[in-house]
Amino acid sequence: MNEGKERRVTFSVLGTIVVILVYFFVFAEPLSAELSAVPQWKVALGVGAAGTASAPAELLAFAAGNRYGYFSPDGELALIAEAQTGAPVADTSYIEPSSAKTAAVLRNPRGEEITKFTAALPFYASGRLFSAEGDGTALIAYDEYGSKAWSYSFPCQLGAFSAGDQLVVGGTVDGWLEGVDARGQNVFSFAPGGSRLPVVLGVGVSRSGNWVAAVTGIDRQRLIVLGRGAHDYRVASHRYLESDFREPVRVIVMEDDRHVLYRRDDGIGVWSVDGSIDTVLPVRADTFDVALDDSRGIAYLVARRGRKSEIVAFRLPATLLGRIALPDSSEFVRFSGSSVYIGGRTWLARFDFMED
Amino acid sequence: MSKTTMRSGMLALAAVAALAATAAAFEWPADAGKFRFGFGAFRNGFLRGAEFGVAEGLVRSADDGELTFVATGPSLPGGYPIFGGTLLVVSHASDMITIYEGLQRGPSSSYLKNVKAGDILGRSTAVPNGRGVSFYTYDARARRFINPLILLPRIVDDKPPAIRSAMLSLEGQELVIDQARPVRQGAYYLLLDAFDTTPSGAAGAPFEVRVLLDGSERARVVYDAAWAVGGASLLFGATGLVEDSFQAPDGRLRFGPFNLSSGRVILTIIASDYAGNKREQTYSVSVQ
Repeated sequence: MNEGKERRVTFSVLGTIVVILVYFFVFAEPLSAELSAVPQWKVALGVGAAGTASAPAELLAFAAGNRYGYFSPDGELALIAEAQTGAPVADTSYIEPSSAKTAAVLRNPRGEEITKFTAALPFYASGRLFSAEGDGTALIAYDEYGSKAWSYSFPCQLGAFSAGDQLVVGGTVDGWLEGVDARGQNVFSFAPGGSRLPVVLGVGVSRSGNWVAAVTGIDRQRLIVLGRGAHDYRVASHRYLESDFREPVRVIVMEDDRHVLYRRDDGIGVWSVDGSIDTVLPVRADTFDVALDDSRGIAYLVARRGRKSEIVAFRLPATLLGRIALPDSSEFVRFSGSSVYIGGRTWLARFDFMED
Repeated sequence: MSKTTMRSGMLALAAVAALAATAAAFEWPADAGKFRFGFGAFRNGFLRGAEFGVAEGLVRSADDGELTFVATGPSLPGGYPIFGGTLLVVSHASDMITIYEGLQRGPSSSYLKNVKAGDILGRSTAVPNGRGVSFYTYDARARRFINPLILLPRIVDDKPPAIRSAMLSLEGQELVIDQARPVRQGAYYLLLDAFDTTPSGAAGAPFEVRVLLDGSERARVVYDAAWAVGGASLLFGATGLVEDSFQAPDGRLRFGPFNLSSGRVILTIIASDYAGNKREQTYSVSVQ
């Protein structure tokens, strides 16, 4: 009796050891190299600093609080200015605030005037110049020279907006998604439905324009992904959510044209356009931005919650590699490959992520 | 005008009439209805709601409903600016939505989800562009903005609209309608500067404008609804005029073209407000 019991215990112990050995040898994964952030430079921002930076093509736009301007990747300042409520700025041009309510002056990074144009509320999205019009129901798109390219009126106010290179999508507060192509033509109008109260809370468009993701509706809230077909956009995947947001929800279709990030109560949701990935990155954020470093397969996320912000490095879909808390005064974060530029109203800095 | 447009216009009118029958179910959200600019006023475009200029005034829910969307800050996540820094949406029964822009949310209003008529949604603020709080009534079933005057308690008004100027336009050239000076034959547009004084004393839009030639009605617009289809902004339930073709960049109203052939033409313009006050102006035009 005792002998049999001992034999069973021995077999159990041996079996466990074998299972552990099999797990380590058969399902082994290489450990990722340690990721560290290496400071490169930090500069103080003084209004009017100008002149020494390289060619405009290499300049990067910057905006924090009421200050804006341009700098080079090696930390030379090209132009730093300030305005009462800041100014819309992109790498190729910026809008100089004007005392006239509707007149805008478009300038290049050297501060030279490109043109004057009429706009209610000009802004940049994905590097493209637009103006919000019609009490928040309309959009004007401009070319790089500030000439009006097209205008588009939505049926009611927008609660969500996203622009790619070839596609702009507005989500209305009455629950419709409308897509507008590069010529200002409607390419789709779609009401996701499926909820007690229709509303579009967030939308993201892939840079390619192939995918549109949106968080819509109240009771129950939904994540929906539309994909471009031969002639129109169709539902590619969707899922119901546990959230009850009644405010803007950040939704991003990543540059790999595959992963969708969206705000959740318990973190940042990671979803694939075909619905095969459904997981959560344990990072609580009111809003966030993301950049993908293709060369290393690492994504960098800047997550903001209240006055706090942090940078999170992760491997897709949701493997955390590290996180760095940013100073409270950080208002500007920009990624370029594995470089991160951060800044506040009076300072600007760069650090690079490196694998040891 | 196509039959489809006419039919949808008639349906819209029926919907507006039905809404009007249940009018005053909504309450004025601010300043006891003393709005600064109303539906159709030119505010760098056709105003689809009402604008209150009150500073530090309370803004209340126009009816029982549920808050479906609140955005505060300079812009939405994708960069689209928020007019007045706040956008608040309340969903009501019968698929009506009220939309509020430019108010300041307080701690007592930030937890609201279900609201009763008269509940405080926030305060109006003096915003940089001077627009104060804007308020819109939107029929989500028809996907149209409805003139709030149709849905809200009537305001005492005994002043008729005014007609500030009327010009004829041919091939880009504008002519003052001068009874003594003849005009040549052609297809003319009428450019009209007509306004109705709002409860706060500003120059707002009338509710109805009619244009008659020799006693025969040639154009009529009723400021009842505004909507958009396929990116085009359309005005007035019965007619569906394209906004850009009706409202000139300077805010004047464009009617026509009207063929004026030789002889004397009697041009009559009748502008009315929502209370029924009328202003009629007649011009005698000599056409050669």
